Amino acid sequence: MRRQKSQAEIQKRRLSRESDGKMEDFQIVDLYWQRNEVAITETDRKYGAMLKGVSFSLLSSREDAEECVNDTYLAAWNRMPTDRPAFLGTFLTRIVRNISVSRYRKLHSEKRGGEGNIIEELTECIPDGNTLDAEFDSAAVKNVLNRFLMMQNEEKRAVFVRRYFWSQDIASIASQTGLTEGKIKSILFRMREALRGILEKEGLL
Amino acid sequence: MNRIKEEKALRLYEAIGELDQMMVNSALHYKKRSGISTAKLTVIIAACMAVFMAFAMVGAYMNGLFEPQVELDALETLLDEESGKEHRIDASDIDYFSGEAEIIWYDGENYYMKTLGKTSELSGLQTYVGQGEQVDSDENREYRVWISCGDGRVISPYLESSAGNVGYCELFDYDPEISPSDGFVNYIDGLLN
Repeated sequence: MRRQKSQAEIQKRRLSRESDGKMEDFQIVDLYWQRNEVAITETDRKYGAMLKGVSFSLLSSREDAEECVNDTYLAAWNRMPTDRPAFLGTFLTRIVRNISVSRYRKLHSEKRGGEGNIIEELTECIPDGNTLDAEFDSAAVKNVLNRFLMMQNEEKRAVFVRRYFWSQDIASIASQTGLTEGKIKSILFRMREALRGILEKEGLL
Repeated sequence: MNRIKEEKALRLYEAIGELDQMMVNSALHYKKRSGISTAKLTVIIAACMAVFMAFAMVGAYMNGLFEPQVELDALETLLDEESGKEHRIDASDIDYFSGEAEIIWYDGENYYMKTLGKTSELSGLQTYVGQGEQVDSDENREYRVWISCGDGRVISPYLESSAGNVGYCELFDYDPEISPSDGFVNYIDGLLN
């Protein structure tokens, strides 16, 4: 007796027949809205490696990174619907970053060891000061960051965002932008210095 | 790593996560433009054009230097001495029925004209015109000489006498067949001076 194929299986085979095997963002988002579990599979296919990379860059642990990515899929499932992100990659990256930061804080409060490279780099942007304000004006920092980056040229902005939002390593940034690794390191160093100056001037962090 | 700085760095990392979405996405599309910048390209093109212009000017000058120099014959030399502004004319202003014989010459740039005398009084003209040594065709020779007889006829001392070598009311172009004789040149010299 022929087994009836499930709707999900039929849809998976049809929707997966893209030229490069990966669905468009809007198609994946539609699956979330249809509460079709194929959405998770397709998300992992398209963005899984990238999300793991972002999380790993902070946590330096594959197991922790995989857990964070799984938590990200769950968070995305819970948020869609109502959310309908235009750029699924950015949407998911924001989630995995936040989850990874929380995991980082938890791990580091317990272990006090294993520093993420990116966090270590970003400490260079932090003005000197031994106090930690209980209240942190995240909106102000966000505005300063946006303004700071808008003032930069396209090249510097791209390098900074690729490194500190997308958590790309220097070699990947170099190969994808056509810039040398030396130039990228130089750009990042100068931008961290400049950002530190601005944060100090604004009295933030 | 200082614990307080680490926490602040984490806060900064979180704030970076809230960057403008368009900025975040556009960063992934950036790729360094290959080749040279527009400013450099403009400078290079301007420099190439300057070099080209310099070569063109040198070439034109050299071309002028090495252009085959045509030696003026006796008649042309005589007429060249008369090529002052006062004798310069516009070819369209010539009165071919003036009743006077006029010698008209073209040096490659301008037309000049000088009156020789009343047609009826210039019997020697008929004697000398059409006499001279045969010459080969010379494409580089730009000088042209005509004599407007004053009665509508136009002849050239560089053509042998024949009915086909007479023009009417026009400065016809021609291929020199003869070189004016010394007698003709002396005769003209006498009339001009």
